[in-house]
Amino acid sequence: MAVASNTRAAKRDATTAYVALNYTDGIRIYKTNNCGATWSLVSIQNSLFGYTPDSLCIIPSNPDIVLLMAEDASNSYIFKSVDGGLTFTNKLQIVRNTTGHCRGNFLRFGIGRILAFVPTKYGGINESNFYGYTSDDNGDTWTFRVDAENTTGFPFGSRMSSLVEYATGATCVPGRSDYWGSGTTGVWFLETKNWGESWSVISIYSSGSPDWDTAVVQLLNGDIVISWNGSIYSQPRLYISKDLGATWTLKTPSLSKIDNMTSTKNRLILYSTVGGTIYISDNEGDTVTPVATGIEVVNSFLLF
Amino acid sequence: MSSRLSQLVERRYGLAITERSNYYIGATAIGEGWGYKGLIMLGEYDFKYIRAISDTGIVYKSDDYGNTWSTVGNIVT
Repeated sequence: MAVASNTRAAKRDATTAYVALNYTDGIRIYKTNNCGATWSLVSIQNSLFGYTPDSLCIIPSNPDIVLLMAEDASNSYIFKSVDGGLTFTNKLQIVRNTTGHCRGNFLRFGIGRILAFVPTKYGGINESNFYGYTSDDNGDTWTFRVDAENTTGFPFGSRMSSLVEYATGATCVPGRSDYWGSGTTGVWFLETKNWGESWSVISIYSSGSPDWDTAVVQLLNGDIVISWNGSIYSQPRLYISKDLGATWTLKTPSLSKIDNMTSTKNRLILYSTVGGTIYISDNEGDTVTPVATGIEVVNSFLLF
Repeated sequence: MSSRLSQLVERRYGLAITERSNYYIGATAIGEGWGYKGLIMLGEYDFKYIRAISDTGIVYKSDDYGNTWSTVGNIVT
């Protein structure tokens, strides 16, 4: 049997979730109604053969709507399904960097507005950039909001596995500067406080550039945690904010990489490709405990 | 709801949390966490059942807040 790849997941409700994945016949859509115990094939998108899924977005108020961010060799796209993933229509298409490694993501604000950070082109060097768009009509139309490169002054890349609205209309998007091209390295947080309408740089760490994989979670105590893969350092990085993004503290937990992260209550759950290890931390990264090994590369966490 | 979180929101955003809803934002890919809709808090954050989905479609599960993990199987069968 062939092996799937680029599997991305998104939860719809307390028991239901969707995934999109690459298979030999195109992008396949699967659905679970029992918290991931079993999955059924929803559709095979033959016309999207050669496309890579970036992210899925489900609209809780209309569970038949499924948004799929995907890319081919030249462009990034947002496709919309209004029939539960059976058929998709192209709603956004922008040029991406053919050698870029960014992965886009969605965030659905509490008011219903959807934010999409879509990989796009940065000219001349071997990295990518993001454009931020919002939609107030469940993905039918998209309004351009931010060019991450122009806002930060540098190429702005990452593979963002999760974003979160940590206060009304407020979220931050982590990125990193170009590592291969300009020679200027650093990490950036772009923050919005008005549902994506305007953006500012809220923190700069200019003496180094962590690797691509980033995630943002919020703990029950309100603290925001951002993770970066640390493959070009000896350790990965966590940035912690205890004041909803006003100030940030750097931590370097004792593990080799953080490739993905989620949280429940006040616990961080960290996935590292080193040994395929899942770690837990109940003190925001001060100490980490391995709880599973041999886990294949985790692209998505689902919490039920 | 965390009283410290409520205080944080009041201090930084000038919002008083007066009402709570049990509606939560949704999937991890979209973002799990606390959100606010005007004065109405959106968010539940007691997720016990965690599923890790691999690049190749393997599903791993933890039913105890991440303490122990096991393999469910592959999405593509």
